[in-house]
Amino acid sequence: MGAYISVPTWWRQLDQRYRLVLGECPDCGTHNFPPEGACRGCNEMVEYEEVTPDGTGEIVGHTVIDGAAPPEFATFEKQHGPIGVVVVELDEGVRVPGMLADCEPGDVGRGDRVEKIVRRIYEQEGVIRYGYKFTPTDD
Amino acid sequence: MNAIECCGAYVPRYRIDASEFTEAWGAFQARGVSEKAVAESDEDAVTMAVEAIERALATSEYSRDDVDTLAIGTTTPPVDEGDVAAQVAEISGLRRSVELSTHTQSTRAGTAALTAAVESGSSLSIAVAADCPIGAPDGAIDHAAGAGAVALLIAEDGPVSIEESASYAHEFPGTRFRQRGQTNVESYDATAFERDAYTSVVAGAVDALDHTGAALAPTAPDGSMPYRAGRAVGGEMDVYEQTSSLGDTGAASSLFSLLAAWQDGEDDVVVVGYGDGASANAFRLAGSISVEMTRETTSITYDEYLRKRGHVVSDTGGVN
Repeated sequence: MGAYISVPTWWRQLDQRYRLVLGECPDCGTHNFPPEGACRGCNEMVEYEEVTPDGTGEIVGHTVIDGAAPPEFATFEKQHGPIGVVVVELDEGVRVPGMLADCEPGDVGRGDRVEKIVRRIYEQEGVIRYGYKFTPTDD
Repeated sequence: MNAIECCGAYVPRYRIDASEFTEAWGAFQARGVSEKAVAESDEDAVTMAVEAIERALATSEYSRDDVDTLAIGTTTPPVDEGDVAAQVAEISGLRRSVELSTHTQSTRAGTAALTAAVESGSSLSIAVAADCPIGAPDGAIDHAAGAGAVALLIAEDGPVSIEESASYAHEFPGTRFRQRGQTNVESYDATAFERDAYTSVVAGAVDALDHTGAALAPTAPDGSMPYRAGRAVGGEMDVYEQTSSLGDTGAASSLFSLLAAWQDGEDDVVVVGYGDGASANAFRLAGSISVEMTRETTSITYDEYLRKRGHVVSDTGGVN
């Protein structure tokens, strides 16, 4: 079963889905993703400064979905094969979940460097949802 | 505003060799193509345009906040109606005040976008062409079809000046077209007629310029037609194309030809965007820009090709 996200909800997250826009705490400088709620550095409710990161980081968690993808990803899995899913610690220190792209998902793992690119995530009700994925990099 | 300040190119990672088609079909119908690029199933004209813009901005002295105009050219917009330029602008993080246009329905769309960017009067414009054509799997159009994107930043000053431009149109019905609501590009398939359309219209646009350049960088539907155009303009110009190694990049192919000319040291290039039907834009450009195009590639088999392009997947309608 998939986790349905309505288009208006997806739309409110575009800065994060397209460019991984972070919130920098004006008090302690800690980066937060998404840029809302209490700062994970100082636990204060603050007005974040929005920051667009380079989108590079390191894989800290990794798994491969092979044959049981949620329905909105079923067509992509048929065309692409097994899907790599990762948690990436960006160079700004925040951890974000994402899908891998342009690599054999089993050939990369924790400790590998990745960078953000934008791809189709899935298509639902005729609406194409774009968002970030991660691909291996030497940077 | 009459210069190209910088440019960026994006080609998908995956490559398929012509021999894979020969094995599957007994023959490979794309003349002059030895290998071509294949988009992953999560790539389309929007994502490739975004990548090319990103690469162009990375080498520019300007930032995304300076961009006033964005013009996109593609024959494969992911939707028939809907503002794909707004999606590209949003993903690329451009300003809300950016002027947008989308040019489509013809492989000339790449230079149509360039025309719009140059004529916008903005202090900084982006012209981007991105394409991944689809045809019936047993035909020459699909055998040739590749994928890629090129973005040009147009500013007041830059290493390449736009010296002059010209247009040319002459109706040739039935040359490459896509019926309303259809995915596959097709053609009437009268070979001599199609060659005549291509060579006479490309030559017509070149002849309409005041001066002829040293190099010709035309739209390249395959790896052979550009050289026929070279003969049609008198045989004096060096001819460039990248369809022989990237496949037919549709609206982007004239700009890939331009990058190939620059890579070879040419600094007096006529780029000609041609679209069947038929019409062409020619730009004479002085100067050159070196563009990084090397990337790690992965070779795929013909069955992987069919899956990635959606030819054998039931619920995609054959679109990437």
